[in-house]
Amino acid sequence: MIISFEGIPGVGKSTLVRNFNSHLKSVGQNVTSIRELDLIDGTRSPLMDLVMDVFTCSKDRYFRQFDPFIDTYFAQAVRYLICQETLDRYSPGYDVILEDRGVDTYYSYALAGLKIAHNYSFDYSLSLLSSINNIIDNVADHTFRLRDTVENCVNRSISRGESSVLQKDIGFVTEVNNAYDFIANTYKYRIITVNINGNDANAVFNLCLQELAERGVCFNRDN
Amino acid sequence: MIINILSFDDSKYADIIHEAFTIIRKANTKIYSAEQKNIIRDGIGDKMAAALKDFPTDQEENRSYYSYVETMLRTALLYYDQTLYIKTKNLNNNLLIDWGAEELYIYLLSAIKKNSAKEFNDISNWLDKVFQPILLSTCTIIPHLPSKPFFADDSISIAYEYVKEKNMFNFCECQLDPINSAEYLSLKIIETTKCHESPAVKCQELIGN
Repeated sequence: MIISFEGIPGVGKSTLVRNFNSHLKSVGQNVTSIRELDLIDGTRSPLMDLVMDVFTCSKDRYFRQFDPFIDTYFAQAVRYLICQETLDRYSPGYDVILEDRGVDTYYSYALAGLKIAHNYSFDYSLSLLSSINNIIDNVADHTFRLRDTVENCVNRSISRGESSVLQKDIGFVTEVNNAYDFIANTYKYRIITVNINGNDANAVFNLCLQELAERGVCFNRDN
Repeated sequence: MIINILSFDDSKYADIIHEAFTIIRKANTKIYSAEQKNIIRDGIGDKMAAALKDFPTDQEENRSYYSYVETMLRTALLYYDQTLYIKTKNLNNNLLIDWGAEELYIYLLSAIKKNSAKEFNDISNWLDKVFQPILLSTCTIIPHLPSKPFFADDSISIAYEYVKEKNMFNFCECQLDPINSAEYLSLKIIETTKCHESPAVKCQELIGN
């Protein structure tokens, strides 16, 4: 089973993944987690290295290349490689794989970029990108979209001493947050939205467990 | 209008095309031309082109995935080149290229077909989505010597026939005069630019066959 955690930087994805990881291990599940572009056993194919070398060569974290379509094509290539080199390969060996950012990261960043640079509507972009993406089945079994304001996320990052969203990127990240809302609303059947609403990490973790239980997914030593 | 000359790197045709481009440039016909081998890219473009040069082709178990990855990378590079060479130019001018979207489309259709169990229709429908942001040529001229096949690679020929049958692009097959092939091709290119108003019909009339 693959569980994805989605949301803008600072919303608490990594903390939640760590909490899930500890909890699932404590109840005897064979679990591992991957963070965005990291791989489970730390090795990458030469092709992944090649693609990542180009994808990450820009100093700009959000508009990596000079046009978001180029970012989008590269992000899709990376997504295919993540599926091939990680998800498909390791899924049979684990009860649960936790993804810190999954396919909806690809969608949300692309939607925001295409809207800002080309004024494409979210609706149009999502329909285009999902039909490109769908040639490979790479959607998690359960996806949590963690939802909070950009301001709260930035403040949370700062309080943790993490590298925060730069002032110049606030507009883009706000658009990414809006895109996440749009995607979660479009794919209600597969995305569980969890509103942070000032809840601490433990409360959010319990909310997620509760949501999974409502969908018939329970983790304990017996299963 | 964008006139694309399609040849799939066949050296014989490549020489003729290069010569035809040179004749057109010397003739000062107000046709802006951009040959693939003369394309100048910046750091990111160079990196993309280098990555594609090193793209692995012998990964038996990963073939279908790698074809999809290759599709994304090649389309990204084409989009980049189009942004540099076409989208920033005034499209009221005539632009002559030898690296159009149509060539890549046929190549990818053929590569994915070879490396996956998918049918042409499924691949083509998917490629149509991938190519949505890509600019298509007004007219794609395919030079053809009577003594040579259109394409050396059979799988490319099959993909070409499929695309031609579906009437997806404005192809103009152009049978060359074997003696003065480059002059003949350059003349046809110049004639093609005269059919700006209604290229689909007039290109066929001018190019003939």
